[in-house]
Amino acid sequence: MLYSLLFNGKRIENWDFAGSYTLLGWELQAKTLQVQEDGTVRNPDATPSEKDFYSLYHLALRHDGFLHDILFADSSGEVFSKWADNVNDPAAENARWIYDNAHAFLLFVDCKAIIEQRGRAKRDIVQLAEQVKSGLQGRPVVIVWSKADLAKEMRENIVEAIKGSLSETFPEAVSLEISNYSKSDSDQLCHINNIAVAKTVLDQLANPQPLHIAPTAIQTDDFFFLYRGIYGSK
Amino acid sequence: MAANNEILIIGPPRSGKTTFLAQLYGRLMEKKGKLQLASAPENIDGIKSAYDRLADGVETEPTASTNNLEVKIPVIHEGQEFVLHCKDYGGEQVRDLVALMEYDKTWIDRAKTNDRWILFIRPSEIGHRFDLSMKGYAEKDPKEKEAPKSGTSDQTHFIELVQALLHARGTGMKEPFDTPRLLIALTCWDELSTDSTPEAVLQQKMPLFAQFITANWLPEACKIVGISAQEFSLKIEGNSEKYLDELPENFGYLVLADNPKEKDLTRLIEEALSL
Repeated sequence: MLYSLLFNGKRIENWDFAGSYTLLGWELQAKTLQVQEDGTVRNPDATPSEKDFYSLYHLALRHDGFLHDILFADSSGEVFSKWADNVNDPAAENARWIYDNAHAFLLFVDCKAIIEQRGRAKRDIVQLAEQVKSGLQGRPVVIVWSKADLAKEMRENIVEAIKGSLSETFPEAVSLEISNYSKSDSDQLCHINNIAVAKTVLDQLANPQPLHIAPTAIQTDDFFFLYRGIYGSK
Repeated sequence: MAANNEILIIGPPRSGKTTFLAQLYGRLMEKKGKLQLASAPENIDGIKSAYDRLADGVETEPTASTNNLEVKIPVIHEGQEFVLHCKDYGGEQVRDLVALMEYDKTWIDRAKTNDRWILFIRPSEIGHRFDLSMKGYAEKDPKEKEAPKSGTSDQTHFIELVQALLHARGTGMKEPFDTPRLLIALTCWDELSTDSTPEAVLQQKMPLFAQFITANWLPEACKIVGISAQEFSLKIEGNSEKYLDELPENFGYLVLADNPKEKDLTRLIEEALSL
């Protein structure tokens, strides 16, 4: 949907599209959202859950005059669920690789799964979130509630439980609801928030949290380390 | 960065390259435009067929896919004499650059030696893609096992084409650049029946491509114009007679910022040289 929106003229504010090495890959996915002659859409296929399936989508984006090469990893939910239960699971090699190498994460919470699986879905989300947090080391996380056009059908107590758990796990994380369906142009869930997910994570990557390093007082009599430059002698 | 005066016209099949070159030659012969013929070219084989056909009041034929023709026309522009290298080639070559994801030495040379590119895009043939982001809602296809149709959209094709040519030229994209200078010519403008500006038409037809161009080119090194080299279809009854009676050099126009119906087609070259 992100590529479809860009394709049709929506923009990520302050992030200008400057090219892509994977245009054909984007096209293949975007085509599944194309309305066919009979008025239906195909929707993207589920991402293969083999452990050796790697799929990266590239965007070159110009931001404040600098070119940023952004790779989006398309990963299967099943593989990440295996990884969440056992980070050393041999069948979750690609999830492990993504986790080790990614600079930021989009944590998808599938509203449809919560409607269908209720408590079971909550269990999976909470486990995944905890595992993502364990080795996060300050990398940004954006929580994305997908298929949010169905949000009203979710049981309120389960939603509250998930929200409570996620806000404890990631107190700083921005949370956004998205959908592939829209009621008008511009639709909050579809047109605005799909772009906002990209913008939020890109802005966080471009403006990392400042490091808080306390300066250590130098205690030495060595003139080399005590030298403060020519200003010190004035 | 200084740029030489070598111009490369880039365009897929049916984008209007050959018709433009034939009409340009007619205008140069007239010696009334901004660019004028300095002396007769030694050999006009490369555009002869198209030039003859327009004189007969019939449309030009597609250039054979393997053809690489060049006509060297000595011209005068603002008192300066130089040779205009008009290169025509089968548009399939441009299509294959993207379809096969490869370019040969001919295209590396073309991309490298020409510092001024004119990209021909025929907006009336740019397919519109209607997808879920525009439709709002659609039922899921019950026969979803079928693979999606292959082939790229026109917009993606043009982005990939420009990326491939910049790659062949060795132009880095880390910083916005000014060379090659880029003139985007929206061709067969008469087919659009519009009062919009060329910029607005490009934005409407290919917004992501427009964003790609402005993100990479410095603003002063890129321009968008409209062109109707033929002015109307010669397949419609009566129009051939007009060409025979009133002569091809009196038809065709450019859509420029200072004149939405500029009859002097040589100004397209002038625009490319002034970037």
